[in-house]
Amino acid sequence: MIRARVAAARGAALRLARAAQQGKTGPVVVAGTVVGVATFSSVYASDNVLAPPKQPWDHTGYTQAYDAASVRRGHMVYAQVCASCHGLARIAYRNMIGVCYTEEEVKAMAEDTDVIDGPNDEGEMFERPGKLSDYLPSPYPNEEAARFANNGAYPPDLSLIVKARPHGVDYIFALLTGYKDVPAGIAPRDTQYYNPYFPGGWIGMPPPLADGGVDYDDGTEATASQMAKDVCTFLAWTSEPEADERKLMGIKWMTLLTVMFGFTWYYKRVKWSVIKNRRLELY
Amino acid sequence: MAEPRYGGAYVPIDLCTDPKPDVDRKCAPGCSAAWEKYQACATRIEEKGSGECSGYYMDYFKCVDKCTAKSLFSQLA
Ligand code: HEC
Repeated sequence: MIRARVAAARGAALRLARAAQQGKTGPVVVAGTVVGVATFSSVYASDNVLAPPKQPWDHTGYTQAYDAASVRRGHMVYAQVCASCHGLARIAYRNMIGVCYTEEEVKAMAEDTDVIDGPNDEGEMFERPGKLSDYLPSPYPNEEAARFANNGAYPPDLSLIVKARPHGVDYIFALLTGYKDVPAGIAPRDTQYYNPYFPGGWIGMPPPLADGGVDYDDGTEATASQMAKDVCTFLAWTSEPEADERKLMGIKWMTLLTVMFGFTWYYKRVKWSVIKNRRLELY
Repeated sequence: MAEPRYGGAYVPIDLCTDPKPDVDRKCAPGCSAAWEKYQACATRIEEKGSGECSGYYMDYFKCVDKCTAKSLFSQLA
């Protein structure tokens, strides 16, 4: 199917390119784009991966905001489970104030961490408790250390992961809840786990979520699906913290522009009524 | 919530159960055609001694997922 589509696109591109040789330069650009798009999308639609199903998220619609309780629980999942392997380097403690925690809660959380700062007056680096302006600590000092601890696989920083993967939150949710038995005819592996949502099917991340794996402070049952949903909502927020504001602005501007459109329409009718009621006689 | 229970020995009891496996199980009968194809493949490669069935496997789960996604989130907070 996909291969046929790529072939068709390449055929079209060749025809366009031939037309271009006859002195037209525009089609070359078109041909390049066609080949580019066809090749690129064929990477996405790889046969060796299971497409994640669309879930009814609370935050993905044009008028929907993040579920703050879920973002809060999601941070707990991140902090208690994922943070031992994954960094979240683009989020500072202060970013969470008013989103899912109060300032006091975040301050206490920051003060629990040790941050290396400096140099001081004597040129020495020193440790101090974290403060609101610090970014969340990463578990490994560098990529080599991270790979060494994870059998050669690199646990990516999760700050922008929802934007960085096709299907976004749906993919992350499917990945976290999608570890399955190995299908017939495929040999199991030692340090990789079968997960058909991960391109290629073998992921270096051990299944991170088990029922009851996190202590939620709001009494929600910490089932694996619940934790996956919450951490996905949280990661959606870290990827797009501005989304709520942006959607609100969108609603405001669309409303305003609709009203303004009404006025301009009426204004135009009034102004043109004189002209439209005039009879022109040309002779 | 998981709470430790002291009944002589320390036995952690897990009161929460994930709804997903249950929903998946309820969705399975609707996808039996895909599952049978997968099973047929498994028998086929067993006889042949080579090959693999991940394609049929994924087709089956694609079907289950579509059904599960309809009701899973309504059972979560
Ligand atoms: C034991 C360490 C470990 C823990 C805990 C862990 N991960 Fe991972 N994760 C990894 C490794 C290693 C990889 C890289 C896998 C690979 O490339 O094969 C990874 C990859 C990922 C990816 C990227 C997949 C992709 O498409 O490239 C995501 C998303 C992810 N993890 C999310 C999470 C979330 C969310 C949690 C917490 C619920 C978590 N991980 C907990 C080790 C871990």
